[in-house]
Amino acid sequence: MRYDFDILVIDDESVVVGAVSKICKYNNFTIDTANDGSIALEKVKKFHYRVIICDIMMPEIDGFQFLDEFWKENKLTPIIVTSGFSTNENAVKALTNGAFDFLAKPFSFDELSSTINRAMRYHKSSKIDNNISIANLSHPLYVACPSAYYRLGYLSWAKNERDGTALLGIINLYYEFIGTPAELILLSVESKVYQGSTLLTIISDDSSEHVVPSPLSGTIVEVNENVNQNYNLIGKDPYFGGWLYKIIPSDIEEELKQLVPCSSDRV
Amino acid sequence: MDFFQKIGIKLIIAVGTTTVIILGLFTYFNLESQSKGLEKEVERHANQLSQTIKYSTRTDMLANDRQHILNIINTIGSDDQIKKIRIFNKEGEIIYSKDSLDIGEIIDKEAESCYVCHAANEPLEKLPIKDRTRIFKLHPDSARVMGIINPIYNEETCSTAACHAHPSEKKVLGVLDVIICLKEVDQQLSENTLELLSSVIVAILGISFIIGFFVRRWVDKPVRSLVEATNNVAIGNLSFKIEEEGKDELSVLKKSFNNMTKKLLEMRNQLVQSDKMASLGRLAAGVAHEINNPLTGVLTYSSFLLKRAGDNKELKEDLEVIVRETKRSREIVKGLLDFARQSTPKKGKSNINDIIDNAISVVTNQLKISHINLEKKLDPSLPDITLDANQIQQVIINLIVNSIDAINQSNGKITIETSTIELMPYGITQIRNAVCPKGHNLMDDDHKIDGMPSIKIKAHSTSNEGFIHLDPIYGRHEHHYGIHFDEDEEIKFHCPICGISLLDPIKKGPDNRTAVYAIQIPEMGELLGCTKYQCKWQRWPFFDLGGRLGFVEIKLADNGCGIPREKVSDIFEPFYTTKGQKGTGLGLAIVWGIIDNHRGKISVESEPEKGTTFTIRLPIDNMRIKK
Repeated sequence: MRYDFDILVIDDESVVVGAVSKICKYNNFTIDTANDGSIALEKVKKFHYRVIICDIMMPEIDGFQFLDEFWKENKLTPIIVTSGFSTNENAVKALTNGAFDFLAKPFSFDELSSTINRAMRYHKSSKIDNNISIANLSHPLYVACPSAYYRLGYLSWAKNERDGTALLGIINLYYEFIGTPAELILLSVESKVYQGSTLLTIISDDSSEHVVPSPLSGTIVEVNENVNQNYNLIGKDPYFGGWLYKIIPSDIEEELKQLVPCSSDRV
Repeated sequence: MDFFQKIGIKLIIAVGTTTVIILGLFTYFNLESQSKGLEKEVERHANQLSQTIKYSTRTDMLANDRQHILNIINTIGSDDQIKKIRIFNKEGEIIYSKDSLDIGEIIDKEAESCYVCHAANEPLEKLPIKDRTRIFKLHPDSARVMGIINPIYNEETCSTAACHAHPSEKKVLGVLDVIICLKEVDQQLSENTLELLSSVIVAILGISFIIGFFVRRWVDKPVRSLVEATNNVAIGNLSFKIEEEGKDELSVLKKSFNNMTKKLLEMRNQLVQSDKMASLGRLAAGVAHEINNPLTGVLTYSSFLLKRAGDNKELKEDLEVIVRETKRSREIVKGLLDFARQSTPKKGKSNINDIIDNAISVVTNQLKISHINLEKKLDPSLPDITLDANQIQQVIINLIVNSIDAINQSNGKITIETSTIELMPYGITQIRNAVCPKGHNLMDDDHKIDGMPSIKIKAHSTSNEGFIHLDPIYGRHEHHYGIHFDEDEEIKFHCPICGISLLDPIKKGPDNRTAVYAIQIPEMGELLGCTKYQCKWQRWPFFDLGGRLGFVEIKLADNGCGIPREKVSDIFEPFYTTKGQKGTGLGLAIVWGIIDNHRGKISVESEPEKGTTFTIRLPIDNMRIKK
């Protein structure tokens, strides 16, 4: 498969396009740019990209519309959505619309680089071939989360327990692409999480930070101490022994609607 | 208003009509019986008169002395009241009469006076007195008269008299007819009628006046004051109050009207507040978006430069400051968004003293420029507490900047003091979660007391039911009552969702008699309180038994221009500013929101021209200091 460019940067702010381009070039990626969603749609029809970085608020066609149109092309390119309107709601909306990750503006060199690197690793391992149309598959990845689980994008999962609590954890795929974790920054018991707010920060051995958003809102009542002692548990057994928190969810019925049931991923 | 639509006039008409009907009927029957009585009297009198005539002429009849009989009739008949005295024989021929012209005339037996006896073929012989009288008019326009007939019976002396013998088989020989004028009786009757009618009219007028007076006093006046009040409310004057007096239904209405306007006022204030919050949200969204794009430029380029700085230590250090401060700006903008959306901070264990030092380093230049002396009195033994360091730093910076702006004289001074304090939970602890025995949430985010969600309870008074919003501060008792209660009245408390009673079946209040309500506080036992209106008694064993609570207290004092007393309550409102074009009015609102998100409390004391002191209390995690 031949790619015309490694990365397509879509943003109406030229200073952002310039900055992102510089960072990408520094990392030896070839880049193409578009300062509006409609121009970007023209470009993705003509060219092939490994990764797309797309802003939300743009004139004419905004980021969400771009995602909708893009999925109609049956392409499986990972898209990193960025926005200056960096609310938890926007993060969740982007992820439920198929974004690979949400990166809040302003971001630093390291934050952008680590996200791009993760997307590139994902791209490589999923062996996406943009020439093949997969008509019946709305989501490109096979996620191995069990059927009673719900996921937020390809980042985190939630499982509703019988006693009214919910378990939260991260998707194995995410973990695979961040390299070796050097440190986990976990939240403490009694702290509150919101759908889309930071659930876990992983600092990998290349000292880049990876932030995982929470799939649900609620109050943390238990933190899995086993994970704190053995980080690899998340990678080895992400859905059972590797859960992170037990929470009392605050609005589970509404919020589950924003998540994707893992059972729908089975082909 | 149409005169006849007035409630007083309607009442008068209704009562007047009833009185007219009742008194009318009474008068009618009264007059009827009066006239009957009078007629009876006249009848008796006339009968007596006719008997007298009959007896006085008896001898002359026997002697057949016609002239003498006529004389007697004429003499008796000379009275004005006696219109006619006539004696008929059996054939109807008038034999004797007061009026000599009548003599010899024959009266038709079908005529009214004869009809009574001669209606049947065989004439009747004996008649009761009632049937022998008749009332009629001689001429259509003359006064009424009463006629009485008196049959003259055959006697032994008549049939055996020497002069002329009547056959002995005849029973009735003739009839004496006397007609008496009723003019005087009629006059008497009409006088009585007039008298009665006038007294009835006087009675109706009197009743109307009395009703009118009381309606004006009991209905008109209070209704007018209520109309005035509703008009005032309609044009937006919600602070208008009706004078409450009396205990009748309209007074209750007045009281509940006053209560309603009070509630409306509170609700309007809350609406204004949430309106401000909504515009703050829109503003924050716009600002966040606009600022984040240029910040992206700064952060990416500076962090990119930092990557390429290599071994240039000096350059690296400078760039690190830019990166760090840009990241802090990012958190501030995120905080603005979070505040507008009421989300929680990113917390970690930190020491307040370090945060204050960081904050001061940011504003050092500003302090120097304004020649303000900053004094730190930081308690070195301060424990670390869980908080969002960025947000608390923002709070300190905001407060210092406010103080700098408030100081306009040369010897400006700001003091920052930290200490650990212990406080009893009574009167300061905020109840953030409350449920009924069935687990329904009682917290009402829509009705806030002092900015905090209240506890909503369904309440029953003796005559009414409604809602009470309990003060979420344990022991403070600034409850909002939705309905009226009498002093000392015991209130029935129920869950507003399932209606289950919230009264404790066993426990009693401070006087060992009053019932007590018990509200479940998840994981913190239950809150007990007195059910009497105005009774200030609350117990929360979970905290009462736990002893004092630990807080870190930050006091930030300046000797600036101070805040006028009437403005003190406004300063934490969004968009309230004294800095004119210089400020957005958001600083202290954000400060309040951050401290509230940390379960802390911020208060302010100020004296114009002397200075202002802000006091922040943040709870020390899980730290209970035993008594």
